[in-house]
Order: sequence, then structure tokens, then C-alpha cells
Amino acid sequence: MKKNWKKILLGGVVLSMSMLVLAGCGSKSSSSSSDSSSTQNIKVWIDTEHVSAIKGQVKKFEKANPKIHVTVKAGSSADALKDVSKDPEKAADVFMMPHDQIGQMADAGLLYPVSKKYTKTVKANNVQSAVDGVTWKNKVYGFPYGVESQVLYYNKSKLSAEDVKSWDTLTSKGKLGTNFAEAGANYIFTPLFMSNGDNLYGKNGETVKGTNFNNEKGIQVLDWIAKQKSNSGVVQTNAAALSNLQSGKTDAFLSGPWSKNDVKKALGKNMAVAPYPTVNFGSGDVQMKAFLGVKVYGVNQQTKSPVAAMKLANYLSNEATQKVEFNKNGVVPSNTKAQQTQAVKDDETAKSVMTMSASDHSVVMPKVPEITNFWPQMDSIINDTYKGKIKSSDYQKKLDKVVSVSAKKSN
Amino acid sequence: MAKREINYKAQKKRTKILVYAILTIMSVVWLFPIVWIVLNSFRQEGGAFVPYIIPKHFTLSNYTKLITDASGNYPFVRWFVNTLIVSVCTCVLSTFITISMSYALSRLRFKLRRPFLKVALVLNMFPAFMSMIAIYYILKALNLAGSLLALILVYSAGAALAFYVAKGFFDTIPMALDESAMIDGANKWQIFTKITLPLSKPIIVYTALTAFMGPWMDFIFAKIIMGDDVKNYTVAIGLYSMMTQTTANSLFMTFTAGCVLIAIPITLLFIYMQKYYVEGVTSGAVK
Amino acid sequence: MFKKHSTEQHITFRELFMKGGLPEKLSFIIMGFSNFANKQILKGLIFLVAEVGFLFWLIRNGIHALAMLQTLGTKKQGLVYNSKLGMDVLQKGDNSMLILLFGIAAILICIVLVILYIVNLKSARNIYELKAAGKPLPSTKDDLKSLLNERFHQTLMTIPLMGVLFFTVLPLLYMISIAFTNYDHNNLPPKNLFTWVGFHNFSNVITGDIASTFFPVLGWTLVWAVIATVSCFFFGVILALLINTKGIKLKKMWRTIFILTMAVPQFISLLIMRNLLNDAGPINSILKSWGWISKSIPFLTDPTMAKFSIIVVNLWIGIPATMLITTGIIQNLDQEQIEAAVMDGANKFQIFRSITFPQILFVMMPSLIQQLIGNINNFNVIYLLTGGGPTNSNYYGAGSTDLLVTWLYNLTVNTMDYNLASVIGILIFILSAVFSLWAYTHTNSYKEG
Repeated sequence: MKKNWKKILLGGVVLSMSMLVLAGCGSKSSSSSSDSSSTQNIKVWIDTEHVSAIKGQVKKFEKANPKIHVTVKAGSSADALKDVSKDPEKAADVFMMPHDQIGQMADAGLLYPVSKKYTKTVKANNVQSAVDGVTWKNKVYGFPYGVESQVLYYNKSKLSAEDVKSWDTLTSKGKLGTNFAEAGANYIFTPLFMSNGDNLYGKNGETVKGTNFNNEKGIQVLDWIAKQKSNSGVVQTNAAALSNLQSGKTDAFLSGPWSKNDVKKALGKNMAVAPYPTVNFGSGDVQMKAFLGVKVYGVNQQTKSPVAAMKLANYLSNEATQKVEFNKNGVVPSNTKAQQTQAVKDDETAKSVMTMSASDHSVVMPKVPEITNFWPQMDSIINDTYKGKIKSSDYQKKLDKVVSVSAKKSN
Repeated sequence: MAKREINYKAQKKRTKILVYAILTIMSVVWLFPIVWIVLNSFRQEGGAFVPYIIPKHFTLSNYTKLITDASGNYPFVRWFVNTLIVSVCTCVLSTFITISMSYALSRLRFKLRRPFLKVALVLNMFPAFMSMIAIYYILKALNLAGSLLALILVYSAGAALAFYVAKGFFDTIPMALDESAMIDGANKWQIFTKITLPLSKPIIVYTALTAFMGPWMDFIFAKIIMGDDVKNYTVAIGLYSMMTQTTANSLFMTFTAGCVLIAIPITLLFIYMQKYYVEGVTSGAVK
Repeated sequence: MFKKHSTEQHITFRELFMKGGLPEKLSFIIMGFSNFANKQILKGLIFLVAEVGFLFWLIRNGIHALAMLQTLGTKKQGLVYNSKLGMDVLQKGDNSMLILLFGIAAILICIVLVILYIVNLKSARNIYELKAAGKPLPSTKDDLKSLLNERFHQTLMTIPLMGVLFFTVLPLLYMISIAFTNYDHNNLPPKNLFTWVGFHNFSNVITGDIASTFFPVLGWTLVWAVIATVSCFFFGVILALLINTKGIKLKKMWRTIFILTMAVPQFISLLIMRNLLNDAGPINSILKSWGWISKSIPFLTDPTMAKFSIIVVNLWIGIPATMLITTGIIQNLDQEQIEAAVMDGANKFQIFRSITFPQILFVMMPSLIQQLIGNINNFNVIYLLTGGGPTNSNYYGAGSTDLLVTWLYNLTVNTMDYNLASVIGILIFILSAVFSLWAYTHTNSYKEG
């Protein structure tokens, strides 16, 4: 029993490895956040489609600020919360994100509150709805660079501008390809409840207990959704929406400005855009509403150079960059001056989005963290109602559940 | 008697025709998706969904786009090389590790062998998603996150618990061989290298082949380790990143071209090594 | 075996301390001292370095890491106004997640050192006993040589086991610990701290409002696992028999056709299948253009249909592997036994039932059990094909086809309820572990090994 060499070796190596691990973890806790005068490196995450447009702007920024070096990396704005929270230290200093993740990211300490100086700039230069979108608990948490809301794309050769003014004429004269039955219906059709006068997280979208879908008006909406199943002018389409539009299977389609170029490819000269139609839930025509989203640059709270990062975020959301983004990617500006340029005014999609962004046409998407509980619940109720899986007598019960789930703080 | 003979023959013929028919139908079903991928990779027009199978216009541009990285965001060739490096290194290391472990657990007797076999059996059954974040931070503490070395390390570490098939193989090699060598004065190291390993070609090939294929298929874990280091992506993460909501429609054909390009080397390897694969996987039990 | 020594009587460590000389006594404080005194320099050096390194680490960050484990952090991250910069500046706080992870690592290190310490004492005792018996002490060279012979298994297994400790055991312990904390979407690091909550999460999953999701999902997981495993096995065997029917030509070509599908990475074939089966995908389009159907078949969008489609697609993926193994078995069957059966007048079906099939089952049992466990945890098929959908209004965060694993994935990625995910992970683990240990001890094929 000349000693257990294995144990000795194993123990020795394990010990030294583990110490390395822990030492590594320990030594990284050194302080950051002092903006020195040497070159600062800033990493920015940009959606893949936007990379080429932004790279040009970044070059100009670097020229104006020779001491800041910017690295542009492809990221995914929709996954900002997930990607930044995985490892905030290694995440980008500045990143694209949708405004509705602001609540959760700010509460998790992932977002840097915008400094006073830039808060003034943001408030002065952007439309009110965009400012509302980036404000959370009275602080501004992001630099808006665009607004988006769904609009109605349609085929001019099949439908007239008059036809698309109300849901009923739209679906009786043509076929609307939209998604009631699959995941994602929540985003398109939750605002129906607000069209009919209900509130999601209160009027301001920040009151945790402010959802009131479980009333007479809410049930009206579900009834209406269930009826669409037998409406021959409504074609259930999700992933194939664009190819259906192209092949003529459908004549209209609800989507946002991000689809502009694809729709143009699909419809060519016949492409037309309009705001959402009116809709009748049984007590007269009301405007069908959509969610308003604000596209935002967020600054990472763990950034080593907050001053430089904010400078960059501000630059990437200024009037000039918004114009570039509009020209190259069709992003509808949130900057008031950029909205007034002739090119934007002449663009049908932008015009419709701007009409939609008024408060009588849309609701700013709430950003309370509790909404993560709400989404899957709402999605399944819209899907199941449309498919006829929920009896109309159960509507009240299901809506009660939505309301209770939406206000749930923890599990 | 003669009549029965004829009946029997006719019946046999009918069975044969039936079997051929079934096999043909099944082959069509199995090959259809593969043929469809290949056809799509040459399609010029349309997006992700088209209501027909055979493209209206054929083109090579999906391949050239992919290989020249026209957009600058999807460096496919680089990914391909990364994957090759990772899979070759993983293959060598994992094979070494798996064979060592399984040999030790099959042929050598030591304290805690049986308990260890049971523990190893269940250790792998915990769903891996949450451990991924933990592994990411361990790698980060070792300053490895985002590197190809990290992938190689993690894939190879997993090989230590994947010894069951190989152990089954070693169990079938007669103990008598070892014993006679021992009488001749060989030590265990010599028995392992001079006697057992030369007999183990099928299982070594099998282990190596499975290890080699792993990095081509993993798209979740590798993504967590790589994060935003697009240059260090493997083909699996890279191709998967083409299929996000906003890009799926426009990049679909490029994606299928990429699929064809990764499937080719693996398929060739697989067909070539088929014999060993079968021997390896069945060896544990065929006595 | 060759382990007589382990049955020998040893003196206790207490006796060793009382009776031993100065080197033995000092070994209780300075590890490896006895080895140095007896010229086993290398061994002594390893002990000593380990001890010094450990103490150094313990003082530098070990004690801190262990102490923090109790509370999982107390200092919250915050922002402090810095008038020089004119903006708020980050004040780092504790990160509960990292505290937990590295706290567990610290515990592992301590355990390793304790083991090493005991090994050190045993080594000292061994030297003492050998000397007392007047036997020569092994030299370093002898020790190294034994690594290639008596202790060959240690040489082979040391490095692999290290990998297991770091990349399997440590993360596993971390995951299990999370089940006992309130690490959910309301307490996300780095700003917030989370802390220990005992068994609260377990009661939530088993009796709370999560239960109405947990049990149906568990049910479908089990149904899926059994059907998927059995169907692949059954049809795989049939396919192998068809290909190996006497008189069928081009056997190798048929086999190769099916094997092709094994070489295509799963994420590709599954994404392609999703496209093919889409409501607007090629299959529906063709059927429509042939006039066979007027409305798209909801392959993946109707809950029942989706479950069915998943199982069929899984057949496409799983059959070739079974076919390949079964072919190997059939080719290795004992022909004499079959001929004897034919002589006795057995027909083909009887031969299959009482000779071929039992042999296949015997050989395949371990792999069937592994497949079953694999199917319980089959992430790829569900995630890539349906993403858990279609949605289900009766569930919390899960869709109709979600398995426990994919639900767990949703909980971590979408709703960020790590604690619930961890509880579900533990339950899956218990389920699979109990089943496979039972199988391990009860099936013949396993006993052989």
C-alpha cells in the first residue's frame, strides 16, 4: 500500500486548478468606472441587418472622438435581456434593445440611467411617446432611435384605400393573412382589449394591478376573436405570411416597418400601407389599436467608461444617424426633426407608423417586469379562443386568470 | 408435391416484391427531406416557403454568397475551419479519455469500481441547461470563455462519462489473454498497449467517430460559451444564427447551402466508417 | 483480487501520534514531513505544496468565499452620484450567483484537502509500519513504476475524473443548490441578491399553482418517452428484417440510404422538417395542388396532431440507428440453432419470436434504457420542431408539446425563474436516476457487465 498515488496526484492537481479558478474570480473584482484620458474601448451590439448602416456612423463618431475606439459586433436586440444578463461584464457597453425590456433590465441593474445632460437631450429631441417609452420610475434609461408599430400592408390591385378603413370591409372584400392561432398572437391582438376600453397595467402601463380585461368589454373581445375563425376573409398565417402575400393567397398583412423591404419584394408596385382599420366589437366602430414599440440604445451598467458609452449611444440616436437608419433600413425616426424631413414624410410606411404612434391609435407597450407572466397566458388564450377550444361560458374564468397572473409578483 | 413447390415459389416471389415495394417507399420518405435541402440550396427565387419542390431557376449564388461572406456577418469558411479544429482535437482527446476510462473500468479491479459505475450512470441525467451557465463562469474564471480551447475542453470532459459502449466492448475480450501475458511478465501498461488496443480497432473508430461528430451538431452550449465572438463560432451556431425571426426568410437558401456543405464531409466519413460503427455499437453484446 | 493489504490490521492515527517519532508527529501539522524524513522527496513535496497552497488560498479568498455562502451576499449594487463626472457612478455589490458557484467550489477544495490530509497520515503510518517490520521503503522510482502496473487504473482515470469534477459535479451541485434559493425573475443579479429559502420551491411545484402545469407536462413527457422509444425500436427491427430478407439484393445500398439520415446534424434535419410540415410548407402545398385536401393539415399547430407529428418525425430520425444495430445482431445470430429449429418444423414467425427477437431484445436492452432516458430529456426534437407549441392556456409558461426539459429551458431563458427550473431539473433527475438504477440492477444485460 505504497500510497495512493492517484489520490495524491488528483488532489494536488484539483487543488491547484481550483485555486486558479477562485483566484481568477477574486482578482477580477478590482474597481472600474474611472474615465481616464487614455484610449477607451467601447463595444456595441447591433442587429445584423443594421450593422452596415451603423458602421458608417461609428466611423464618423471615432473621427470626432479620436480617444474612443468602438467595436461593432452583431447582436440581437430582441435578446438583449438574455444576452446582457448572462454575463454583464462581457456584454457590450452599448446595445440595441426594445423599450419593453427596460423595466426588467433596470430592475436587475443591467441598464445605466441616462445622465442628466443627456436626459435633457433625449427629452428635447424625441416625440413624447418615445420619451414615455424609455422612462421607468421617473428616470430615463435609454436613447430612443426609432418608433415602430404594426401597420396594415395591402395589395393595391385587390383592395382600395377605402376598403381597408374598417375590418369588416377589409375582410369581406379581400383576404387578410394574420396570426390568431400560433405563438406571437399576443403581440398583434392584445391591444384589441385596449381598443375596446380596457387597460393593461393601468392607463400609464406601469400599474402592476391595473389590468382589467376581466369585464364585459373583455368578453366582447374574446367573442369577436372566436368569430374570426369562421370569417373567410381571415387566413391563419404565421411564418409563411410573406410568401402567401406574394403568391396572392392573401391580400393584406399586419406587420411593422421592419417588413417594409420584404413586402416591397413580395408585392412590388402593388404595395400599399395604411394605419389599422376600425373594428366593431358589437357596440359601434372603434379604432383598432396596436402596441407602440420604441427602439432604444441601452448602456450597460457595468461599462468601464460610462461617459464614452453614453456619448456613443447619444450619437447613434441623434438626428443624423436616425436619417441614415431610415434610408437604409426603414426605421421610422423618433427624433422630431428627423420625422419632419421630406423623405420621411413622403414614405407611406413611415407616415402610417407615425399616425399609429399617436395615442388614439396605439398603446405604448408596458415595461413592468410582471409582464413576463402575462405574455404566455395571453398568447394561449387568444390562440385557444380562436381555435374554439374555450367555451364562451369559460371566458370570464380565463380572463380572471389573466388578470391575476398579470399582477403576480413572484411564484 | 410439385404444385406445392410452385405455390411456395410464387409466394416467395410475392413476398420479395412486397419487400422491395416497402423498402422503396421508405427510401423515398427518408431521402425526400435530404433531396429537398439540396434542391433548395440551388433555388434562385422566393423565400423560406414556396409551394413547389423543384426550383424554377437554378443558381450557384447561394453557395458563392456563403463562401465569400457577401454580407460580412457570416464568415462561413472561418466557421468551417473552427469546427474542423475543434472536432479533430475533441476527437483525439475524447477517444483517449473514453478508451482509458472504459478500459480501466472493464479490465482493472479496484476499490470503488462498482459504486463508481452506478454514480457515473446517473451523473449525466441532470438536464444540462442550467449547468451551462455555471460552466461558462468556470471557464471565464480560467480565462477561457469565448475560445475554441474552451469548447475542446468541455466536449472532452464530457467523454469521461461516455464509457458504457466501449466498456461493453472490452468486457468481451477474453480475460485469458491478459492472464497469459501476465505470466510472461508483462505489466498492465504493456497488456493495454500491446494486446488490448490492437484488438480494439472497431471501438476506437466508433468512439472517435461519435466524438468527431459532436461539435458539428451542438448549437446551444457552444453559443453560450462563444457569446458575441462571431469569428469563433462553429458552423452549427453560425447556421443557427441565420435562422432568427428577422433573417430566416431572406437567408433560408443560404442556410440550406451551408447545411449541404457540412453534411457532405460527415456523410462521407460515416459511409466510409460504417462497418466499424456497426461493429462498435453491437460489439458489447455479440458474443 | 490483489488487495490483501486492505484487510491487514493498521494502528489507528491516534496510536500513530502517540507511538511515532518526531517525523510522524510533525506529519500531523506539516503534511509530507514523514516522507521527507524518509527520502520520499517527490511525494513529500506534493503534500507540502498542496498544504502551503491551500493555506495561502484559504487566507487570500477561501475564507471569504466560504463565509459568504451563508448569506449569498449582503451588499447590493448601487449608483452613487459623482459630481466630477456629472453623473451616477456604479458601486459594485455582491453577486449572489457567483458567490454560490465559487462557494461550492471552495467547499470542494476543502474536501479535497481533507482527503489529501488523510492520505498523508496513511502514508506516514505506512512508513512507520514498514520500518517497524524491518521492510525496505519503496523509492520514488518504485512508486512511479507501480503507476504502470498495480495502480494503472489511477494513471488512466485521474485526468478524466478531474474533468468530471469540474465540468459535471461542480455545476451539478450549483444547480441543485439553486432549487433552495429564490433566484427568480424578481431577484436577478447583479443588482439584486437572492438568498436561501429552504424547500419553498418544491412545495410550489408539487402543490402550488405550478402543479397544474407540472403534472400534465410530466404525463406527456412519460408518454412521449415510452412511445418514442418503443416505436423506434419496433420499426427499426422490422426495417432490419426487411433488408436482411433472404434474396433481397443490394443490401448495402438500402442500408446506406437510411444511414445517410444519421449523418445530417439533427438541428438541420429538424429545422427542415419544421419547414416541410408548416401550414404553408411544401407538403401541404403539394397535397392541395393535387386536390387531396382543401385546407392545410395542421401538422404542428394542432395540439394532438403536433404530438403525432413529433413522434413520426422522431421515427425518421431514430429508425436508422436501430436498424443498424439490429442488422449487426442478426448477422451474428447462431445459424445452427436456427437450422435446428427449422428441422423441428418451426415456421419463420416462431423462429423470430423465440430465437431472433429475444436475442435482439437482450442485446438492445441497455441501449433501449438509455434511449428512454434520452427521450425523457429529448430537447432537440421538441425545441426545434414545435418550440413547445401550440400554446396552452391551462399551463404556466409551457405549451402543449413541451416536455419537462423544454419547459425548464423556457423557465430559464424566457421567464428567468431559475429556482423553479432547478426544482424541475432535480425531479427529472430523480425520475431518470431511479429508473435507470432499477434497470441497472434488474436486467440481465446489465448484470453481465
